[in-house]
Amino acid sequence: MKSAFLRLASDLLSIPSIKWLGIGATLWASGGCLIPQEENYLSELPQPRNRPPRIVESQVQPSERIIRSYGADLCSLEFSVIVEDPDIGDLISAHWYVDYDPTHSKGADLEYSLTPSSKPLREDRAYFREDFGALGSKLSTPGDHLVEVIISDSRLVGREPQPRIITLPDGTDFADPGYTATYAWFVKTVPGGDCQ
Amino acid sequence: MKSMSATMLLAALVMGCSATMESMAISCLSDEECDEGEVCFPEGCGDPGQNIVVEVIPNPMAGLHAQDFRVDQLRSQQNIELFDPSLLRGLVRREEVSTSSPINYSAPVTVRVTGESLLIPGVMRRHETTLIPTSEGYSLSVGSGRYDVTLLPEDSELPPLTDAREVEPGQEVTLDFLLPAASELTRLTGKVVRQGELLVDTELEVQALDANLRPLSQREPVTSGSGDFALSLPPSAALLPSVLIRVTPTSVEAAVPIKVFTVNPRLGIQEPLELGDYGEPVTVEGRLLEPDGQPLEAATVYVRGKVGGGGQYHSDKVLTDEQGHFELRTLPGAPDGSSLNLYVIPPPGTNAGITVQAITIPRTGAQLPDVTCAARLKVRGTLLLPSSSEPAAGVKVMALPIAETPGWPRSSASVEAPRLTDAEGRFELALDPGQYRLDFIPSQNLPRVSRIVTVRPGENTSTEGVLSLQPFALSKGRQINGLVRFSGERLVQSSVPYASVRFFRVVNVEGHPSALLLAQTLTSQDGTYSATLPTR
Repeated sequence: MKSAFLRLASDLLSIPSIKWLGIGATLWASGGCLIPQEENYLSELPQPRNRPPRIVESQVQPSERIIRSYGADLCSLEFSVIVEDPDIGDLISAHWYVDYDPTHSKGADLEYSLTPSSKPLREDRAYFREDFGALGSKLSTPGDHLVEVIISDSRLVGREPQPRIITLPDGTDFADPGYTATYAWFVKTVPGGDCQ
Repeated sequence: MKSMSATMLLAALVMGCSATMESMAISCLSDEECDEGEVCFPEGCGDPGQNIVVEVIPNPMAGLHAQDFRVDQLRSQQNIELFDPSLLRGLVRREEVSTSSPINYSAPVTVRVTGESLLIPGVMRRHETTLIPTSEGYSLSVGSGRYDVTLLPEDSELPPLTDAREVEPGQEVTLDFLLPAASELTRLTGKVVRQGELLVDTELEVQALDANLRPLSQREPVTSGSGDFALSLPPSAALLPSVLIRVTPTSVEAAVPIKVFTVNPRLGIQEPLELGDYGEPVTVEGRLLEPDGQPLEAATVYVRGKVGGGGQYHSDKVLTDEQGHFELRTLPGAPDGSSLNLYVIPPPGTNAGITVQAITIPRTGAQLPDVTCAARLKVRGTLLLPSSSEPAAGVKVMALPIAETPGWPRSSASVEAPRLTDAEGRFELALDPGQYRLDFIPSQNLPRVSRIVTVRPGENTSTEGVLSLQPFALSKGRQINGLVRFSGERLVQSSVPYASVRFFRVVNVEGHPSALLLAQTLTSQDGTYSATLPTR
């Protein structure tokens, strides 16, 4: 014995237009479960952008910005900086310049690469040693000198950091900027000093 | 002594272009050669837990300077308790003839403190401040060390005063200065001339020195137009048999030599100080070539030596252009035909080495023949992992000049190998003759290792000028952790963030105390640190 509900359904399905409407509704409902609604897949995790290194200013040596009477009572100098970079895998280089002249650029007087470490604070330090009496002394000429260090987490062209070109998953290139940090000292070398 | 140095330099010149080199001072090659518990250090096998000195520099910018401590037996947990900052303080007074006791001096002075760590040989320290002393005098925060302390009054009529002090960590050391009364000063007045009545047409300075070249006076200008000068020396200078008066040009661009005169301070300066006939500046041109004959660009060139009148001349420095050409303005050589020296400092990264060449510069100038520089000599070696025959790849190699080789000029530049050690552990450095400390700095958790190498012309070198070092091994690492904190009474803060911590090994090498850097690190925000030191 059929219920009134089933009898009504049977009567309706006997009408052709209603039959096709029912089939369409069934397909639409089942498609909602079987066919993906969203055709855009999740992309890879975004590439982290480069972050700048910094010079730990409290530990810069010499701690005085202005060094007077070099060559008189002071016959050698050791400049050093300590670098912190949150990107621990970055290759950090230090470029030392004495009396840099942009019109007659001769490149850095000394380049020093910092050994990578497992923490942001690099254990290796960038040194520039100066010995008044030695050949090759950059600061033995009497007068005022400017000693600069540029630390960089990317290649330098001149003194400008170059971006790293990263190819994104969609094939486009992205220029991830490189960064520099600088520090400078003034050195006054006295004429006729006693250091030889 | 100077003529001996000149002879050595000339010898260097003669050997320059054909030089080969060699020699390595290694008493052990790996820790395996040492007794149990010992490590191979540059001076030989030794206990890695002994002879350790730790240097802590909390924050120099804030006046918290270096403190050094001996570590009798290094432990894995090595906490470091710092003292309050060391202080140098004292009164600055001046004698007055009108009063029986000195009066406080309250005009600007510079206090300059120069010296060395008490415990770590070769670690230099320097502090300087300019201030106006109060009735309580001056006070200057310094690191622990052995210092010469100089008081330099801004009033150049007053002579500099120098005394020595040792400062331990946390110590307050007193050093009072007593400036002499004006009427008690030893005064020297004189005149600088070029020759006869002819004055020097450039700015000059004069300074009185003792026999050890220590300043007795401040640097005083020579009055242009008259050549006159006046120097004030301490009263004690009058007791000296002689003092030196050094005359120097204030600018390197001035073509004037430096000359030193000896005078009797009791008799004063009776004759004008005559610089002599040093000639007029001339032009010297030339071209520098690399060992392979290619032009040497960006090399630094200058001239030094004795000129007419007996003074010493240092020319300004110039750079070579793309063709290796240089043009230098210099004084001519002395009329007796003695030569000056041409110094060539090639830029880093080239095969050309430091070159010194004797040249004759007549009073008409000179066009020099091409100068081919000596080749830097290649030092090659192989580095191994600890206790292994496996190569140590990716290690940074640095060479730090520590002494000159007899007969060769001293180089000041440290050199970094252009590449890390390769997959076979090999490295190569191009070096000028000299004694170097090679530092090997691994990026893994291994300690830095150092070796002493002497590079000198002569034996044990291949025909290509290559010195091949025997393979040697890195040491195993031991992690040292600790906390750095202040335990004194004056400082409110106890934690020490971003403090520099360096571990040295201090031993006697050939009778001289010598320090070797073993590890360096920085404390974190909470004052803790970790460092990797060598162990067996």
